[in-house]
Order: sequence, then structure tokens, then C-alpha cells
Amino acid sequence: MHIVTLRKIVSIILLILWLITGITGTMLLVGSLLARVGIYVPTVIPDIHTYIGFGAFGVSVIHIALNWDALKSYVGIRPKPKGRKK
Amino acid sequence: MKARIAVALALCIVIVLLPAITNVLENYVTSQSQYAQPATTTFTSNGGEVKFGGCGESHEGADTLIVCPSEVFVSKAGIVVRVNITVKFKHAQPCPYNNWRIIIGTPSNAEIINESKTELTDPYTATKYFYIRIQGNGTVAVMYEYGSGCPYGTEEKVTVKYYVVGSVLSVTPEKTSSPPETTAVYKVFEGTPNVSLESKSLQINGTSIEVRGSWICNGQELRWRDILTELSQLPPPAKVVIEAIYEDGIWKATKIQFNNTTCIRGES
Repeated sequence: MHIVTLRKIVSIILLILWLITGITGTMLLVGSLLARVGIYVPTVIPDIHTYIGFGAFGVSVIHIALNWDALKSYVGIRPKPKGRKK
Repeated sequence: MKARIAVALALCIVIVLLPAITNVLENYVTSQSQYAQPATTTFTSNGGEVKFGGCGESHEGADTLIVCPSEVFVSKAGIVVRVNITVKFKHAQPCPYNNWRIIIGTPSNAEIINESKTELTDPYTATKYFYIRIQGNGTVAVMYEYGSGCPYGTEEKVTVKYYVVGSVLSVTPEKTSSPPETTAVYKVFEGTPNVSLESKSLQINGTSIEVRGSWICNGQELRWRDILTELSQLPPPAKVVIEAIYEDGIWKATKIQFNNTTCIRGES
């Protein structure tokens, strides 16, 4: 698979996982407050949050590997120029 | 580049599987500790024999309800046994959903004679116990209700089964897991007490019974010393009825009745 295609797929998966983790995390955070007004968070939400959160963590490792050179340049370590020979 | 992506992919798989691996390990450790103790316990109580068939466990949600014993065999009706309830929390208490509670259902062919308050022994453990007088074959349900709205579960339930059998020695319990930690029994004493303030106890018919902590006597709060002083001043032949439990090799008074006064043991 071409590196650009792989980068696109990983980014989209990461975006979806990030969204789910954020939404379920917010639900857990406000759950006790909502319970006082009779709105209950489904019991499956903590499990979804845990598994999807770890999924996002795992996919982010691939995302970092795919964008390693860019990351290095962000922190001031410039990658070696490719295809130039003295 | 390819090698880096391969390493990242392997790391990703390990991280993604981590919650599932943790769950499997947790279940394995729980099942191992359950069978680490001896099979059953048999002892004598109130002139009858009692056999405990192990503990019951419920782990539908995040927390675990453990009830010991979950199976009791007694040789005759009228025997009182103690049932210990433990809730193991996944998250430290107090949690935001703190209106959780432990409920004891209505027993069939038995009577609950004493029920303790629920106590948090540490941020991850709550305990409670009750004494039940078994009159015939039956069951009693013990339930742990999660706090309202708690997303980690709704209810854990263990049913305690009890049987009146001729001889408990011939009985093979269904469960062979851990026995209860405390094999305390309950008894009623009647007679004229000999009071000893030094040892914080009294003697009835040759049995020494400890009287400790605070007491509620007809709505008034008294200390153990006040009760023993009052009992020592009763004119002979004074008749006192004491309900006591046998724990850690000592009889401990839980209820004292004398001269139309009923005293019930407080919390401390």
C-alpha cells in the first residue's frame, strides 16, 4: 500500500476513535450530574470508552511512525535531505 | 520506513489488546483466589451441627459482591448462623454515584435477627453481616445496588441457600470454594449475672459474656460501664436475658433485657 494512502486511512480511523473517546469521556464526566435529573449513562459506555481509547492510543503509534520525519522537524531535528549526494 | 511502520503496527496491536488481556488476567486471578482455601467448614452451634458450603459471587458490572456462606446445612431448625457480605469496588469510594446500598431480601423459612450497618473497611471494600435463624429449607437474596445512574453496573445478586438436614456430615455442598472468615454463632442466655467491671464482662450460668461500647437503652444512650453498674445493683434474684454472639473465642453481648429495660448494642 502506498504510504500516502496508508497515512489517509490511519488519520481517518484516528479521527473517528478520537471523536468516540471524547464523547464517551464527556458522558462519563457529566454522568453523575445527569443522574441527579434522571438521565442515566448506559452501562456499556465505560467499556466503549476504555476499548476505543486504547484503540486510539494504538493507532496513534502508527500515525507517529508514518509522520516521524515531520514530527522531527516540528521539534527542531531536521531530517536528512533525501536524494542529494555530494 | 517499512521497519518503523512494522514496529509501530506490532506496538499498536499490543496496546489495542491491553484492556482485553487485563480482563482475562483479572478473571484468572479471581478464579484462582476463590479456590485457594479449604473446601467446607463444619462446626457445632447451639447443640446442632452446621456445615458451610462456600461463598457466592456476583460480578455482572464493575464491582463484585461476595457472600459467605452461600450454602448452609444445619442439623436442626432454630440454629443461627452469621452471613458475611463483602463488596469489592473497582473504583475508590466515595465515588460520584455514592447512593449504592446492600439489601438483604426477605428470607423464606428463616428470620433475620440481627443486621449490621454497612461499613467501608477501605476505599475499595465495604462489609456487612447479618444473623439468620434457620427454621427450614429456604433461600435469602443478598443484593448490591449500584448508585443511581452509575454506568458501571446496576445490580449484583447472590442467593444464600439453607437446608435443615438430619446430619450435616453426610452432606456434600454444591460449592467447594472458600468458607466464611468468621464462624460466629448466636445464643440467648437467661439467669442472674455476676458482674465484673474490671474485665468489662458478666457471668451467667458459668459463661462469661463481654459487654463493651455504647448502648441504647429505651432510647437513652449509655456506656458499657453504666450498664454493668446497673446490672450489678439489681436486687437478687434478678433475671437478665442476654443475646450474644460468639466471635474470636469470646461471647459478646448484643442485646440485654432486665426490669422492662431493653438495651441494644450501639456502633462503638
